[in-house]
Amino acid sequence: MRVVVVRGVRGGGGSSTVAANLASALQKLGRSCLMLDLCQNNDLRFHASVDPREPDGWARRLVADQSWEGAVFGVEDGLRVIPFGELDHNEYDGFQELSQSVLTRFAEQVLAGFSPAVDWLVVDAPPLVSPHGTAFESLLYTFSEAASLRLLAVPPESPSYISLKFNPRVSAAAADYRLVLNRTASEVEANRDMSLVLRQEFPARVVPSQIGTDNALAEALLSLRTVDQYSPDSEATREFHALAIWCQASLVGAA
Amino acid sequence: MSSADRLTVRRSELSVLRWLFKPETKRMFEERYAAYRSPRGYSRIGRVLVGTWLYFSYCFLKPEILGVPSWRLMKVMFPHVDLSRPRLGDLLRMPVQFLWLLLFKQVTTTGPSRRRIRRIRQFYRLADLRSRKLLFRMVALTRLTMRKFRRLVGGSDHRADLYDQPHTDEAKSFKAKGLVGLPLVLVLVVVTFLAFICVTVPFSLTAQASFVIALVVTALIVRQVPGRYPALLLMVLSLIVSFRYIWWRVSSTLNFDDTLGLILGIILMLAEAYAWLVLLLGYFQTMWPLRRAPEKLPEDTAEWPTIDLMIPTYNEDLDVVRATVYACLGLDWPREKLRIHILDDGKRDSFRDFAAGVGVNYIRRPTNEHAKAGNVNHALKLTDAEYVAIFDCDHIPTRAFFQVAMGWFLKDPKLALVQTPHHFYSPDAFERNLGNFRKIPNEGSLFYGITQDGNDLWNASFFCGSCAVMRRDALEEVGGIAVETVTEDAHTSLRLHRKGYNSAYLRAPVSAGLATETLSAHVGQRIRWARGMAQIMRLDNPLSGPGLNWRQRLCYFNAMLHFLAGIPRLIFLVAPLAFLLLHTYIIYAPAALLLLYVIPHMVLASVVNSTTQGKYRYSFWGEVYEIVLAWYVARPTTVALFAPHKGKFNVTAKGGKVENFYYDWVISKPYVFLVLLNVAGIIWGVFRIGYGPQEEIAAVLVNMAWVLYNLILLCAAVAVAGEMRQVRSAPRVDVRMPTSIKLPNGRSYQATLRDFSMGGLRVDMDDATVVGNYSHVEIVLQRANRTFSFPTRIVFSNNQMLGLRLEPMTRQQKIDYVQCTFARADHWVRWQRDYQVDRPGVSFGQVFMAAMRGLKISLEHGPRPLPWIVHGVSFILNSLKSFAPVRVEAKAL
Repeated sequence: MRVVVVRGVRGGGGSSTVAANLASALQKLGRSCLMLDLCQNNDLRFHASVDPREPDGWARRLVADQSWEGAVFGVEDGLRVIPFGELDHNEYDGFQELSQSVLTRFAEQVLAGFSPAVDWLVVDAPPLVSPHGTAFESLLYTFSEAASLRLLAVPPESPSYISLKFNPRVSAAAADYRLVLNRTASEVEANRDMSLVLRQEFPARVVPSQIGTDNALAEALLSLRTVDQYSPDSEATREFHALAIWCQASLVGAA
Repeated sequence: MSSADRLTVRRSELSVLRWLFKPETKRMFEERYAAYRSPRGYSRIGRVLVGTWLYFSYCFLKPEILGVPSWRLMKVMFPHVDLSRPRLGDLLRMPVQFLWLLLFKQVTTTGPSRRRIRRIRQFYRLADLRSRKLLFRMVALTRLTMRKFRRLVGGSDHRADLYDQPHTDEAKSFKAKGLVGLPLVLVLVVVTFLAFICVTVPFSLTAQASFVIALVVTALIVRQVPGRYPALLLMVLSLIVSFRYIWWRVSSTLNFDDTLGLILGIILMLAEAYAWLVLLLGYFQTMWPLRRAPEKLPEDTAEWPTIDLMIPTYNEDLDVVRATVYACLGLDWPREKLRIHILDDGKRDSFRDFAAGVGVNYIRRPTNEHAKAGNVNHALKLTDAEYVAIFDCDHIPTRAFFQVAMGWFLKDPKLALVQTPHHFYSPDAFERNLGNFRKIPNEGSLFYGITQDGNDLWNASFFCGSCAVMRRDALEEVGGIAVETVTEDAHTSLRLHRKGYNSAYLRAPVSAGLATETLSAHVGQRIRWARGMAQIMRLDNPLSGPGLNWRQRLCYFNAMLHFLAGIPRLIFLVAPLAFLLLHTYIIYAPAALLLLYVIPHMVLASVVNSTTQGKYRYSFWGEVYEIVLAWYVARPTTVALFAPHKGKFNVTAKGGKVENFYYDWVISKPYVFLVLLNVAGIIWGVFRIGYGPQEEIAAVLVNMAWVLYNLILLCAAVAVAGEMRQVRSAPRVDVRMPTSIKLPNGRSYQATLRDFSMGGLRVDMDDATVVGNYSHVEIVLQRANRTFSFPTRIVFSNNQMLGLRLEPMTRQQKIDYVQCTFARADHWVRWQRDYQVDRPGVSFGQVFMAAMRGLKISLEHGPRPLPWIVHGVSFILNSLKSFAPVRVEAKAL
């Protein structure tokens, strides 16, 4: 099983969009995929046709001391998703107080594999710049260690650039991430220039395929689907297809 | 009628079924009914016929017959009959086809006979492979022995030398090649003696026959071996035969008893001697094309030199110049080291304003003398960069131009000129009128693909007026661009070579331009070149004068000689008529012997050319190109040879459009005359076979074959004069690149870019109806991983395609657009790669088809009864053809 961790620099960078659509594109390539949502926003499930009223998720189950395996949702054509789960105040406190060993066991169980077998595990992780407690830190660490590919969804806009460039903590944390330019807009000059700057500043780390601004992505989310199901002939579908191929190709030979 | 209306009509056609069948049966009928529908819909009888047939097959036939769903049988068995719109002729067509199906076994894709054919083919392929392998081994062995031998006599590897130091001076390179060693001189003497014997010994008919057969068989075998040495060997074989032929012609085929015959015979022999000399020099030129690779530039851009980029213009449209300037502005070279100048000889304010608008320099000349050469020379006085690049105003450089071209200058301080090919993205007159754009290599590809590369080996590649870079101090040393002749380009490089400078040719297509539009413009341009070359021959003959080595002299001489082809070509076109019409023996030899000499000479020459020129010139097309020009080039070259100062520079018009199809009678008049002459020859020849003396028949047949061959070439040449209509003034470039379309609602869709021009683009989409009611979309293009989007308006669309016109854009957007389209560095390389290697048989077929077209066109545009006859004949032929049975591809039939 190959693990891809997808994060944003700041919130709203589109990491769950990238994660969900990448997983779906990989699934289309004939690989069996599992999406795991590590964000407390619990966004990933929206891309995967899970009922918005459905509160279930792995965190909720861990807090309730139940088996998390019950929180695996099947989507169309074999794609699966493990949502974070909706937590109220008490549950959230309970989650923060979960013992280290429970979380580690959860991570190890996920990484140990599934049946039917999973080729790719796509993890949607919280952004680099976000307040999260120690519970998240240890989980993130485990999954990052296990990941064969770490992607950072970066919109070519100044906030993310400033953080990446001038915030030492962020740039240190981002050091082993590949940058996926997300929401590029070829008709906006500032956006185009920022893409160029990012490519120049991080030449070896920017992924060659980028994801353009496309309302099809927003519409797909509204209809609770990924873009290749919602609009197969949209440009975003092709871009995620290219990204999925790049992910596969960049890991050729890797275990 | 809107689509909704049409739908209701179609539904009502079948409304009768509603109360006859269950809904699913009805739907099935509807589907089948739709499958029989022709593009133009049903006729009344068709509706009845198809309906009856479907009903019949549904009720009385089993579901599947002969491996075909039975309702489709009509479609499968009578593919040429449209049941939905039956015609009267179908009453005959169907019985004929029925009989044919009854009586003849249809060839199927998997039948036993097909399998047998495949097995035989496989066997041959295997045998072919084996023999190639054997040949390859033999060649390898020979080369090995050769190398051993060379080491024995103390020479070094000849080829490595040429690659490493292409331009050492004569004495040194001779020594390096080991040519001064005594043993080699001895070998040379012996070889020359043997060759002399081989060429001059007279043979009897049988001896010549066996000699020729041996040579041709050897050639056909050697031809199978890939590589350059076999090609060289072929050249040697061809030379032997050609030398023998010329020797035989001179020594024993002149008829001294008949004055007229003698005079005509000598004229023909001179023409043949000319062709032979051009062949010989051509072999020398293209012996070993250098295939020079671009040299790397230093890492540090501070070491890169400054360049003046000059775009001379006189009367061209501003739109044409715009694209070039935008492309130049995006060139990959440090901004402060590249100065772009528009050299306007037309004194146009619009150009001045445009130059000021985009921030390039504008140079206007007070006078107009010496045309382009004078224009550039004037600009040379006003500028001072180390290098001068010259682009005709319609040649668009790709981004990488200077990256490719400049490296060699920094490596070789004596290098004065780097020339790159002129690649044309629009069809020239030949390609457009014959409809073979990007199928058959055009006239220029031989020169830019092989000849210049071959010249480069001998340090004799020359300046072609555009898409070239020159060293300024060298250029100034020879007094700027030469002004004495109308081909200032070749003359300038000749002078540079005389001063001891080197030149280089890089075969990379790093720029693209517009080809000349009409045949008359094309002919005008070639007349200028031919006249200029003849002028150089008189004023600054490369065979004499200081500074050149003999190899350069030969290369230049051949370039000039090539343009004198007009008169000899005309002589070949009328030569057989001398015998057929005038009844004189201009070649005084028995027909059989003549064939034994002339056929191997021609066959081997074309085998060599087809082998060496492969992708760059197809067999027989060179002759068509030459014939079109022959008449027009003949006079100016002759005049220029005798009075070199006469004649003026005429500018080649480009970027126009041909409004309607028209037949250029003026330009094809001489050829139509020649065609008529040759037809007369054939008629008279037929008459002589019938009523003439018995012993002449062989000679008549040979001459008639020659006339027929000439006639085919002539008709193909005539076909070029039928100017096809060209609607768009901005030529479109066909491509196939992924792109995307962005709608105003923020959605992007995948699309494929199919063609582009300065004004607009065309894209294919899976479903173009997603565009809906929007009239404006943006097209997203990529270049070097950067994406740009350009505003466009939809001018036409259907379900799969959008035609887009570019909206007004800013200057930077225009630069980006040109960069994303015309100036993409990888664009033009693919074009040359797409050409197939020459296959002489196929090529002759193409020429023949062109000739048939030419015949038809010229008859259609001829005097009154002729067009009627043509239309009548072609109508009869077509309708007869439609009655012929058609082969059916069905498994069980």
